[in-house]
Amino acid sequence: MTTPAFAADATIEVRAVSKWFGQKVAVSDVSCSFGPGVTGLLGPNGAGKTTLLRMVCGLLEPSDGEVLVLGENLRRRPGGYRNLALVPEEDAVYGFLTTREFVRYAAVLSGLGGAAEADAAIEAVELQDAADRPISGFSKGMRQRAKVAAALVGSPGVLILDEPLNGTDPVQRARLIALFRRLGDEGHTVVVSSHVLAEVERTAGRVLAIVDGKLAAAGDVAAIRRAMTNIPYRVRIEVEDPRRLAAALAGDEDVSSIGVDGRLLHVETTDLPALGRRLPAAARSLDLTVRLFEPEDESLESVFRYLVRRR
Amino acid sequence: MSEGVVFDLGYAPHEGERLGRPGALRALYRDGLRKVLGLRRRARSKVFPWMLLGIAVLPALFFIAFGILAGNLADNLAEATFFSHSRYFEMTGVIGLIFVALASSELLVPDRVHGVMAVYASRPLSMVDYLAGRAASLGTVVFAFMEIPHLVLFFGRAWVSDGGFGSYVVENVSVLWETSLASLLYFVMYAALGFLVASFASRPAIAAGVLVGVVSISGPATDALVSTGTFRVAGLLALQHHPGYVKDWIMGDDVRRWIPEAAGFGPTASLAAIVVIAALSAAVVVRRYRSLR
Amino acid sequence: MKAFAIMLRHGLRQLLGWRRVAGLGLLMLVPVVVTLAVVGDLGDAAALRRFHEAPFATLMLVALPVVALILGAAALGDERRDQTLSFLLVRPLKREAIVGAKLLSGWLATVLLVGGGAALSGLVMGLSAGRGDVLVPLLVAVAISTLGYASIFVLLGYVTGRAVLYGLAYVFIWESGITGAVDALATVSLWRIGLSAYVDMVPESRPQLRDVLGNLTPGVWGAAAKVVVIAVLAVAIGGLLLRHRDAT
Repeated sequence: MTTPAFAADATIEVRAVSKWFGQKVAVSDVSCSFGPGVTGLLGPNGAGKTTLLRMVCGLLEPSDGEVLVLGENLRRRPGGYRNLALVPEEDAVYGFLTTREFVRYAAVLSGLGGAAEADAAIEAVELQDAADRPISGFSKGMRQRAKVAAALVGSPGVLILDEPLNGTDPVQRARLIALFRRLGDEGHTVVVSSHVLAEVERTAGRVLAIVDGKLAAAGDVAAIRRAMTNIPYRVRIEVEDPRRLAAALAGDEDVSSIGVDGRLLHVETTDLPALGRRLPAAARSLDLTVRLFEPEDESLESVFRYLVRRR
Repeated sequence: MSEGVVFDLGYAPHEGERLGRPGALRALYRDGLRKVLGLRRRARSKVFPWMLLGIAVLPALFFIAFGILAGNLADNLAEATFFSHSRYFEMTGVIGLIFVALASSELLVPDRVHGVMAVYASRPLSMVDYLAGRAASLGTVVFAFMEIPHLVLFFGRAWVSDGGFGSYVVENVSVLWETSLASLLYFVMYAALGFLVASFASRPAIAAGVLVGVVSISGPATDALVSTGTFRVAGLLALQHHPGYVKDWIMGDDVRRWIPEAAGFGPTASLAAIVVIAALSAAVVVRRYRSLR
Repeated sequence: MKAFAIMLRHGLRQLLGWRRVAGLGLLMLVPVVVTLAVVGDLGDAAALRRFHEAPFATLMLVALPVVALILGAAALGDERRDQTLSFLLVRPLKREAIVGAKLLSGWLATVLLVGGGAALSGLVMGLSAGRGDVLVPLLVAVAISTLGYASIFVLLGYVTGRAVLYGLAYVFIWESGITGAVDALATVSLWRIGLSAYVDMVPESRPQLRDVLGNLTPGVWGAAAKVVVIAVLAVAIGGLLLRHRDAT
């Protein structure tokens, strides 16, 4: 399939998956797939992101539907875990182990030699200096990096990251984001779930949004925004005399509202391309120079807000 | 010059009654009852406490049923089938110990381990208030758990009594305060130790296991030491026997050989031991919790 | 094999933290002290008779089940509680291997602690009363009983967060109370299975321990076979649970 919810060369297939816990439906009939590259999984709190990821990892059994990773159902064939690694949201580390021991533990359990692979993973997350300290004494950010190192060991084809940047400082965050992007570029399937939209925007080329357990949108951010035809675009325009331009644009059928703020004009329009075509002519006729023409709500945050607002 | 503005988002300060320390204590007490009994919590947190109560009450119910049936066969057979209240404590005492192990660890350990003590510290509660509130919840439930089986037995016997329900109750009303006092003694002994262990343990399961293990092992261990004749004073460390010995004294019964008795100590010595152990445990627990602040 | 070995090694480290070892170790010293006090300088036969009373009871009836319960329940229970179980589950490992490694670590940790107490008690018997021959039967009985307990409690620790409490009810109400009162129920009492091995190896204990044994026939190999069967079943059931139960 080639629709935005489905990736080409899918490594993870989610087929009509639902999950309920008693009366509570956490995930409802979600079908999508993930392939090489970085895919962001977004949603508000309680949307079902972690539930979906845990079903992908085989930790939860779907109430309906099935999940395949590289063609295998991991709950039936745990051998498939050779190609998958998880960085869970919870603090799943052994405090009594040092970083090196913890990462080596992960390596050996994954069928690898141990020492060399562990050291490479520790270096990738820049924890060499703390490699021989017990994890119990680590800050939250360092624990996250230890978890990421344990997941990276052996370079798995599929990497599932549930809120991987929690507790990390800005420098560490930037480096981890660069690492995830590099892995995506190298052909690994990286799925990142996060609340921090700006970071998902920097990391992921493709986004899946979950709201109330359902797949609400899929694709790249700009394309998702364009697909929201029922929501007017907001555009910011800078000119030396915004009121005269406002008067010229007010007559257009597609323009639903105009706001003036100093030298800025905030315009809401249902047809962004049409506005983009008419604006130069309108400015020329008034002898005005447009210094800025910028969509205000094509960011992931705006898209996300619209998606959540729709429910 | 920088400017600031505060937007009224609808926040309004509390204008109603401030309940203060008594209100905080009442809330703590109610919360403790719910924790221990699993009230307003998922079904599986109710299973264990109510199962223990069921086990404790079952023998009394069984004998009431048997007594009713036997009463139809022979006049005095009904009463003869019942065991004494004193002997019933042999069973309810063990169940009380396990229940205190469950309850004391669940009342104290999670608050400490999950860092919630700071929330309590920011309320009009001292650490002593906190511990008193928890002890009050524990006491209510443990006392009820230990006394309810005896009430069932008492009124069951009254029901099948030849002399009639009313006259049995009037003639034997002293049993009610005797069993209440005995239940209180068991609570004081076990709860003090339970709180002591729970105030240091990092997991409820460990606290429960250590409490039951230490109390259970104290019996045979001190019995062996006392029987050598050389370590008589070890009789004071028979933790499980002190409440039983005093209970027999209160009820004028002699259910079994008590280790403090074998060591040559009277029931008042056991009573003193209960008070001293409870006081020392309380002092250590208060000190421990004050140091957490 | 390497994965199993490392799970076992880290499992033992997880269970034998210094606080647990100190606390439970102190508990294990009680039977030793009691043995020392009771046996004193009694003669051979009298010392053995006295040993089979309080010292044996504190070791086999109280200390062993409590320690086995705490460590057995913690083997998988701590992983579930600390949310590290997902770390193990997302590995290419057979579920039975995970349960087996945890069961083995629970068993070995218990044998180390309880066996240590038993060994010291046996040593005291040897030095004080010249009856060091009880050392090996004690260790065998401890090993057998603890395997039975570990098997049950490892599963219980995975299934419920109140495993220790259910275990205490099992030990002090079912085993000490109900199965003690009814002979026929001796076959479903885990510590009596270990006791049957001890009685087989120390025939002199038979008259004294016959009542406690109920209708169980003394026999080392029979006892060992029973607990091995229990352990194998526990691993199979545990594997099924890990495969089919949601890891929330």
